[in-house]
Amino acid sequence: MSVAIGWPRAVPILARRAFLEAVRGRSAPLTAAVFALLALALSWAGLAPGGVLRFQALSRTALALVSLLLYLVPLLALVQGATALSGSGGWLPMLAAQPVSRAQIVLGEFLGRWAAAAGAVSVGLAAGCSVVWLGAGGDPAALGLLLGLAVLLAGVFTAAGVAAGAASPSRAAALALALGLWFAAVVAYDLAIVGITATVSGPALEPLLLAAAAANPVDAARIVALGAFLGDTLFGATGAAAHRLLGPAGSAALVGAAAAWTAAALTAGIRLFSRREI
Amino acid sequence: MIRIRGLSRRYGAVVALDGLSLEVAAGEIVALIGSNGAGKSTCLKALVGLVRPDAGELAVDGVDVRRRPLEGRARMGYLPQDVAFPARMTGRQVLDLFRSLRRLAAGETGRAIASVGLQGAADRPVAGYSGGMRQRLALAAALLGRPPALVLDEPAISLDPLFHAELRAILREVRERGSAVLLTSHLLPEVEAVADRIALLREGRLLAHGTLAELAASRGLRPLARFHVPGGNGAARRVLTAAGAHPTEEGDGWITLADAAPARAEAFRALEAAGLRVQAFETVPVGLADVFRAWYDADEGDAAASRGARSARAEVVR
Repeated sequence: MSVAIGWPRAVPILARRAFLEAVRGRSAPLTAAVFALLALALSWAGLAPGGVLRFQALSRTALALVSLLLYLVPLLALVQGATALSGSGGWLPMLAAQPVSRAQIVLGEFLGRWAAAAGAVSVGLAAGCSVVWLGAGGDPAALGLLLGLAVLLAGVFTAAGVAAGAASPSRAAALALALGLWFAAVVAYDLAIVGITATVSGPALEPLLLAAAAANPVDAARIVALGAFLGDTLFGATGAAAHRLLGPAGSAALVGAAAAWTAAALTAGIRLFSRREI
Repeated sequence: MIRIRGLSRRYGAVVALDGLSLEVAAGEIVALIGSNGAGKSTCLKALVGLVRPDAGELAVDGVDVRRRPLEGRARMGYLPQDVAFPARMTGRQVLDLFRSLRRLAAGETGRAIASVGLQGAADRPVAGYSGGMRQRLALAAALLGRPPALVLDEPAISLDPLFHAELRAILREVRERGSAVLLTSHLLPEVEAVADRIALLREGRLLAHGTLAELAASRGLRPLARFHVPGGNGAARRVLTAAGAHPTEEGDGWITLADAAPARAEAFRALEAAGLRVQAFETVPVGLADVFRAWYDADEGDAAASRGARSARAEVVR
């Protein structure tokens, strides 16, 4: 098993291949189209309960899109990442038999697939939100925040997906692990937080919730969005507590926590893949 | 040159490789043959770093591949047993990727494509390739940069019969260039056609290695002689038996002598003396399949004898 560092240019070469492979398929244009349509639909539907059929302003549309991003981007990125290094088919042996280290393969796959996932979501959001902005106006910075969230979440969960794939001898096992991670981070974690808020009270609660937010990149992203949009009531107990404690300055710390999770997942992926026999 | 010393690997209770030692000289083709699970693929995978040996030394072109894996792999071309490619890449893109990773000149891609006859399909997505075309593409990838060592796991599998001859020509050219080739194959006629030496593996052990003639001779196998004596089948058999040979009747006037070459002249003389006319004669060389069977049977016999001795000793001890 190689622990050598290898030729530095191998990583961009491998990343380019992974990116092109991802964007040449149907999933990238489909992802972009889905996010564009979601942006348009949410904006159009936002005012429908009041009997008004037109786009609502970009800032409000962006706020509605945040929850969707928190659900869909981790799922998309985990699945994309998990298929990168799973299985033992003939491609991986050929790739691993080249004069490149396993770490370079992991990093290349991560960068390429992260770029593809973040790119597809960003193109879709940008297209949909541009139409909304042209139709109803609003603060264009809201789109910037959405794109930032998409890139952040895609990075963390592509890394987690790559690590899941690196640990799995079969593609089915990798996908199952990826779906388990998604369920844990996006669904079960919040249920656990609700449980904590029901059982813990007093001054210990807020630091606990804050630590919980830093421990889960989805919650970290949620709070970053909260800080920007000031939508305390829309983002649950963790978000409200963190917003009160941290204020806008805390967003950078939470982005840092998410970046640390990305690095941790990649480190785990490299270790697992370096030990794996193909 | 490829050097393997004391290579061992276990998977739980299963011994995949048991102290295997083997050398492939520059400009030599050595074939590893053995039954399924004999350890052939594990040996090749250990060489290219896909599996981790429990013990042993592996060197390619003077580079210790366990200590310096990237340098070792830069000196090897590898063809895995199961070949697959990202479906949307074209053949040329696949080879360009490997060429870039090996830091080879751009012209190497075209050369590799031409060497396996894929010029017409190189710019099509691999998804549309037949199994044989994928195998040829994988072979082209292994040939990139003319590495000093080639490690080929079942290179002839999936190839159509027409390309078998081309594969032989490619391997001979590689040998003439001075590369060391270590390959595995279940297609014994292909091995016979290209291998300079053969290594017989069983349960991770090296049963024997040498040229086909050496392996045959060490098991007492000699070429067969076949005589065609029209109309005199029974008479010919009686004459040859009386002359001390051990003939076998095949019907239609054909008789086979198992103890072939030395007895051939005597058999001719005996048949002529009896007034029988030999219309045709041919020598059937010992095939690799015969050698393989003979060595496996002998090993089976040794193993049975060893088991018998062990149980007898256990009885005595009790």
